[in-house]
Amino acid sequence: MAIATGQPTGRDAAPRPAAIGIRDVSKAFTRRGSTVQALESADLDIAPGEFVSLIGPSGCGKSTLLKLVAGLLEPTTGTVSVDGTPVTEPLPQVGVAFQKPTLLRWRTVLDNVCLPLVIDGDRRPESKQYARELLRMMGLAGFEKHYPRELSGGMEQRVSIARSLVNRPSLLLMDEPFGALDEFTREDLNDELLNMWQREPKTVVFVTHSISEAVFLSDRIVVMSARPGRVHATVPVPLPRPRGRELRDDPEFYEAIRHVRAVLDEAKGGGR
Amino acid sequence: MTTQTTPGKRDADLSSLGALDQGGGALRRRPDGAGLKSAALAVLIFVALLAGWQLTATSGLVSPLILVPPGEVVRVLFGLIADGSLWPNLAATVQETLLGFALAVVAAVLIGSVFAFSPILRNAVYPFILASQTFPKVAIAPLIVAAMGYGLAPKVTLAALLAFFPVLTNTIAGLTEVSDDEVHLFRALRASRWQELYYLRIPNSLAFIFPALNSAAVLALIGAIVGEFVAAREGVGYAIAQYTVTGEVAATYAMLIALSVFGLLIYGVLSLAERLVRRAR
Repeated sequence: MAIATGQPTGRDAAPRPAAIGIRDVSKAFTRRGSTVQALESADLDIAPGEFVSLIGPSGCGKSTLLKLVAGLLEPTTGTVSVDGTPVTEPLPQVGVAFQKPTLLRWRTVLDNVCLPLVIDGDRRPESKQYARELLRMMGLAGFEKHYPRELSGGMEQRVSIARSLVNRPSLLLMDEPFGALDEFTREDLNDELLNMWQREPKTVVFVTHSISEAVFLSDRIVVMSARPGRVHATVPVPLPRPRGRELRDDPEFYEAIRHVRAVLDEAKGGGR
Repeated sequence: MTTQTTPGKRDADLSSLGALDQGGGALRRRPDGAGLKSAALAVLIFVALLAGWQLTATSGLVSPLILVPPGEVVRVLFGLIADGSLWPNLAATVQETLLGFALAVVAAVLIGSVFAFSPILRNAVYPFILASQTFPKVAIAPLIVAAMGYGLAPKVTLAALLAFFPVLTNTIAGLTEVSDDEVHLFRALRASRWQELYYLRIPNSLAFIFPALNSAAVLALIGAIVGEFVAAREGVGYAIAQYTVTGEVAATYAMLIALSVFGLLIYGVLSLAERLVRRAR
């Protein structure tokens, strides 16, 4: 069992955000004899500390690209690297949040958040304290001993995000984490995610199909097109930070949304 | 065969967590007095059943060779307890059932685990096990008795044969039916195979295995009784066969009551075991 016991000091400090390099990456899936090109020659660089969203129609390979960075899939061609290291398996400095909360139903909320610590063999009380702290930041203080079935969808997703942060990743990968939530809950969780990110800077790659969510959160939006999945364009979001709720009423916010939608329409048209 | 309980869907997220703070506990509690109402209804049904039994037995519509009034059964039951003829028979059946049950559970969990991690072996051997389920195993009871004699062995074997299958299928299901997301989560956390087994697959399988244990216990009891019907010197099945021949109908019913008390006891012990195991994790 690989137990990370090294780095006795400095592990509590927030690590330096990770940099990502994606070089000419393609991914083809073969199922029952037919091959589907999920992603074709993607090139992308993500700077340390950047918040980048991947957006595009379904089938554009955005989830595939995320899973390649996560080390859950291997590229057919090309290389993905994190901090200069080629990704061939999941890396320790990466936290992942999925579309479904994927909480273990037999573990309490706190025990779910602590799962990555348990797998790492990290039994230090300060780590567990950090898990409680994350739950508090996520508005879940007092729910530590509850079981997932006692929570709403939004609360489950909060727990899932706390879990993805508990071993202080320098890179956070999020695959449509708020896709199944209603608009109000989604906005609340967007606010909380940004708060968290501003408190502890890290690189975030965020897959979504919501344009407004992508604009609200990101420094840069990667617009993808489908069949085959390609990177169509990257659109910088020039909105100032820190961003709060009031940004959603700002005309500049709407202007940015309009712009991204235009690029997205172009991507759909260009894919033909 | 999948008896897994999916986490129940819950109220919409209100996001105003202050309100949920008080609501969190109440989400799983039943409305006040529901337990009491169920208990009262259960008592009522019990009394109605007894009354129906009494009326039918005394009405003369049914022969006293088939049905005797409940009071008579209770009197005979206490008689059997007093003269010491209940215990040896009940003890024999309980022993056969528990041994067969234990044997079946150990074998099914071991074989199920091997199958869960070796699809090749599973695909090769499973058709044979499935085929063995298509004929009623009670039909081979005489054969088993002929092969193993009149003692404990044939009853335990029958009990184990009947109890084996549900535990096997649910063990395989519990260890293999984890979602892709859960597997991805553990891979992303760089969990070893053993960690994935210990923290994901085994706890997941418990939700499948415990319900199977209940049916396995009932099936083991059936196996033991059938074995005793075929050939035995003691046991509840043996006693019932004897009483039926000699026309002691009330004694037959008394034995059935003793059996259902035993059945309830197994159910209670299994529920307790499930709760303890889940708490320990």
